[in-house]
Amino acid sequence: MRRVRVVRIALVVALLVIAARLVDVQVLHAGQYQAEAAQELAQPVTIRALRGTITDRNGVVLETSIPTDMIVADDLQIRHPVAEARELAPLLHLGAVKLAGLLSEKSGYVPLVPNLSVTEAKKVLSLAFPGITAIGTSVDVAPAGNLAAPVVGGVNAAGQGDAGLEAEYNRILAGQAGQETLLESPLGIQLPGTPVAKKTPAVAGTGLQLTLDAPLQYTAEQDLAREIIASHASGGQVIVEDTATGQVLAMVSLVANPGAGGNGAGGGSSAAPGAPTASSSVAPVSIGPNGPVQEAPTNTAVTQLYEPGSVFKIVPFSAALAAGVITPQTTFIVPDQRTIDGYLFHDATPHPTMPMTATQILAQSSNIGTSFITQKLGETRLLAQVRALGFGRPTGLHFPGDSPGLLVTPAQWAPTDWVSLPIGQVDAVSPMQVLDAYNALANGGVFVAPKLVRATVGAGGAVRPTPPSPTHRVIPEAVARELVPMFEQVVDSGTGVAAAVPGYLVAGKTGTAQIPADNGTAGYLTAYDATFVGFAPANHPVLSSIVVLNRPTPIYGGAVAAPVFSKIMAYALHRYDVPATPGLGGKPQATAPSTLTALVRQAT
Amino acid sequence: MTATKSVARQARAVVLLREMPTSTILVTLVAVLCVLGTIMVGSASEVVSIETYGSAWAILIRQCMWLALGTLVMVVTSRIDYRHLRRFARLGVLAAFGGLLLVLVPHLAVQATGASRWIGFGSFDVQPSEVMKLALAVFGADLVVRREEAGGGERTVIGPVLLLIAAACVLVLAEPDMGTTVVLGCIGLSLLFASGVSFRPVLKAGGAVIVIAVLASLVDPYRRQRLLSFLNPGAHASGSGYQVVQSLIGLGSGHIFGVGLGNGTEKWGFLPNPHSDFIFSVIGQELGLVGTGVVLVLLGGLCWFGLRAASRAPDRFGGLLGVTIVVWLAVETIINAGAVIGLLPVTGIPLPFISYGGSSLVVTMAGAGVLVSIARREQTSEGGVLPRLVELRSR
Repeated sequence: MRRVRVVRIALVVALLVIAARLVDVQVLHAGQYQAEAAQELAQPVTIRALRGTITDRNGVVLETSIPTDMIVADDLQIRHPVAEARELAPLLHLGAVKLAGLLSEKSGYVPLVPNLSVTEAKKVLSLAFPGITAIGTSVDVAPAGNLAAPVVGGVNAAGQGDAGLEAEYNRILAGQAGQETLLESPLGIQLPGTPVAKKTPAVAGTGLQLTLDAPLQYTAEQDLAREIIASHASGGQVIVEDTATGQVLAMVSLVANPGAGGNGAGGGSSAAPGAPTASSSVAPVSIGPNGPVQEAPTNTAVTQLYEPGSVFKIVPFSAALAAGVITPQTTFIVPDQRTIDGYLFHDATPHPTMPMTATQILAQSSNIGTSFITQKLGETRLLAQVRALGFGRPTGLHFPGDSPGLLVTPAQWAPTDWVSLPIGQVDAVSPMQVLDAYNALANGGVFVAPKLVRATVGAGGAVRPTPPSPTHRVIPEAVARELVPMFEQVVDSGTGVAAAVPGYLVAGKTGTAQIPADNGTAGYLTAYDATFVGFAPANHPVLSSIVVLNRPTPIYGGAVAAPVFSKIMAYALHRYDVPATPGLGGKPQATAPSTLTALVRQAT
Repeated sequence: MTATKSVARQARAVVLLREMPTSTILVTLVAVLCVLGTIMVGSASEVVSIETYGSAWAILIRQCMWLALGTLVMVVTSRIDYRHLRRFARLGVLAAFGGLLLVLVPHLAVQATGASRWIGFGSFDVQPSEVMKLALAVFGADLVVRREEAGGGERTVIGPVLLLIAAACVLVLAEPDMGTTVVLGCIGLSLLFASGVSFRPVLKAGGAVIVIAVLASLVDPYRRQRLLSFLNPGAHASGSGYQVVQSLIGLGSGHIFGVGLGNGTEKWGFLPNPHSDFIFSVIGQELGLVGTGVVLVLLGGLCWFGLRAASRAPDRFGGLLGVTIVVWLAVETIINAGAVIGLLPVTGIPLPFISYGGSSLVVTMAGAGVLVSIARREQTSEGGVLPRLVELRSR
């Protein structure tokens, strides 16, 4: 049949066309398609880097990252859920019944344990159950509990620092994520038997060695917590600083936890390992969400602005001495109240009109006396000194939320501000800024920027000290020499006697400030912030410190903040073996006064 | 020396094939194709099978059950004299039309990917359009022979056959199933072509079918999309051209010898329907050009020797039926492979004996059985009956 031959030829032609195309695709263009096949399979996978460890100045670990494994089940591959669950349950710390349920979900991806230790994960994998796999991950832990938590900050679920130093130094702490290439199906299943092309291994993050001293931090937290409970305060802050270097040795931000109630004694969840307690006879206060006091959500010692009260008198006194308008002995006739522009100003306690020296005005914290000094000083020099002492600009601490403060501007200047500002009831500043100003005085008039990071520690252990804090003179040396004894009088015979530390000469200032209403009006609440800021030994300052209590009862800095200062400073001075001040009956002076850096090394 | 030896060996092989009974060759080819197909369905389906049934074996097991049923059907159709089929021609075509009408009844049919082509019987689904292929071939061939014997002239042949094709095509197109419509059209037209009727009306009809097909393609957005993406797969690489691009990646990455049986990557979710529509691409990736070449040679050989059986058929009915069945297998091969290599639009036509597909495999094997039955009664060009080895051995 002729037509069958036509069909036959058509068939052969069609098959030849197909064959030609197959040769074209499978031979001539094979390379191109092989490349496309490889490319569509290759899936880059990120390998999370271990975060750097944050330690205190002596290596006590505050926060670190531990490699762990997430155990995941592809339950479609699991044949005997009940039998396998029985074997896996103890290794995964799960109930066998619950686990059997997870293994029979038939969903293909069931995370069983988010963070299992690497050694335990190895045991799980050695069982070689099909469908049970481990995915490398890490967990961030704080072995010292929540000690210094507001300073250290936190890490979010994505492994990025989201608060405190963890956020500020996230770039170096995070390390560098690595990458490997897997051959995966579009559904993300790694093809069986395919190799892992490791491209770049993860680089572990660089650690931070902080300037904090864990035992001192612990003591400061405990002492402040006790006072918050005793004075029914809403919260408080403590900073202890190395005078010469600006290194922050303790930085505490606490808030009362009225919901938890309690008597203050408890588990001691913030106990630093090996931290000696200042008064071992007293049960430690449980600091935490379940205790009467907990760590503040943010590091309020740096981030919270407040009107500081009379501690701000360092501004008019240092400026007036520098300007030569007063000497420590300049005498004023001081009544206990004075009306300015229709407003009545008065001293904290009533007293007859009497002659007072500048030193007495400071020691007794007379607001009226201070107003006479400010009058002699004048507005311009007053405002210049506010800025000179570091207020109105960031502290240089390298901390998120390091606020410059809120200073009054000439446009906002009220007729009474020249009286209110010197007594700390106009400008809003942070506790850190107040301490910086007093630390400059302790330092003979040289301002030292505070710092929290002492060194970075590479993944290999290489310690690289951070550069020393920048310094600049803010008070002439001669003025500082005149001013320090005036602040000694505050502790010796003035409002701050409770801040005294036996055996040591202490200089400082109390502050009791009314809290402004935050409804935008110029009004004030009948609530107060109480401050004591000072340094010791006053004749050769080694440590400076500030203690703030928010809304305490009683309200006075001399009554609530000064005793806390005394306790913490006493502990710190002894901890660092700071020689006692001669002639005060304390520890005999063994050597010439030394710097804290040397002393701290001895203390470890 | 060696050259003459190998030439002599080739000559001996040709002579051997020429003298070998066509039925033996056909049975061997079908058997090899089925074995190869089953292996490849197993390999290509494992990922889909786990996803769908939770076991890598599920689809392979189903394929083996269908293959067992298909083998049984093929044994039966090859054993019985194909001439007996004439008695069931009307019944068969009526049943097929009935089935085609049933799938169009809502809620009765099994729907899949926007088409209703199946009728469910328990866990097995049957596609009436598959049955229609064989029914149309048998009924058409019978009709042509009856009309010729009645002596009514060409008109009495062409008219009814075209009407039959049109009816079947319209019903299948309504499912919608473009691919099977084309196959049915080709089966009918090849019947007319082989019957020797004057070609002009056949060409006219063929032209009309093509025009209708193109128009239908352009009216329906789904078909238009497929047609357009076929013309330029790269531009639709992430959409409707995606499957062709993936198919070519599979074929090309297989190179000459393939990545090895089971090692294909396209079946892991890149290539849709790797075990049915695109099994040819999986063969290309895993077994390379060697694999695709072997499949083409086997299917081409089946058609070639099928045509030999048809031309050696003892009667006109057998000859026409044989050609029609061969064209059916050839068209399915060309449409499927053509789509896989990106030369024809993707229509969902299975690769005969290789692709997974229940009723399609059974009906294809039934058709192959009929072809074998025709071959068993082949006559030499001198009109003598060849020795039938298969029959002799089986007795």
